[in-house]
Amino acid sequence: MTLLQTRVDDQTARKFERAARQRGESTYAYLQRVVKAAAAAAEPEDWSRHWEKLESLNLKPAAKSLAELRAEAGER
Amino acid sequence: MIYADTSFIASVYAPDVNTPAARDFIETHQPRLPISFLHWPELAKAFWTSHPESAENLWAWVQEDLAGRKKLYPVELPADVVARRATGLIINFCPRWKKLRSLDAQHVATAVEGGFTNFVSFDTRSFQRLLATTQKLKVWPPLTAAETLHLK
Repeated sequence: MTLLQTRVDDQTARKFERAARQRGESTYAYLQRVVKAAAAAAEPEDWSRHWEKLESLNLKPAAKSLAELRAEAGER
Repeated sequence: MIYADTSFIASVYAPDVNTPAARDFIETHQPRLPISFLHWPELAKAFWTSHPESAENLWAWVQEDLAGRKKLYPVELPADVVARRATGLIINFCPRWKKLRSLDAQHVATAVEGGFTNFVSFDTRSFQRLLATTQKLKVWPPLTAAETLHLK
């Protein structure tokens, strides 16, 4: 029983250990690398900064909405 | 659960006359919006027609938000299931609304099959929002007077 096996199911732990071996790393070194990468990854955006970002693009409002484009194209 | 037609999502990512209303809705409801296979071609059309110089950036932004799953998420329904439901809707409603578009029926079919309760769309020119109403979906913005006439 490894520390990893105490936290996740046995099959997942074995797969993780195999993945570490395939990369030439110990289980713990690989785990540390994965956790560090996950922590460093940018947090996915929610709606809180959406409008600020949209305004920063300085886009002129479209002359026609999608509903108008649909109607003009005569899409069926 | 909220299903947004492409007309809404396009207004959220590329400014048009409906963007202020879309903003109000988003700020009030903070929804996670589903993206289905129906949305992609229409979003491409909206971006590349209305903002061709920024279309690639807008496209990448949508992709990024979809990957993040906080604003958008993929709704994965078998296309056949959606198509069968849409076909039933067309058969039932086309005799009454001859200009009902097959794409509109597919959006409504996706919302029904996906178990959504609300249908958000700015397309008041088609019969899409009326069709959604007949399927017991709560439509936003509320039906216009002209749309309501078609329900009678």
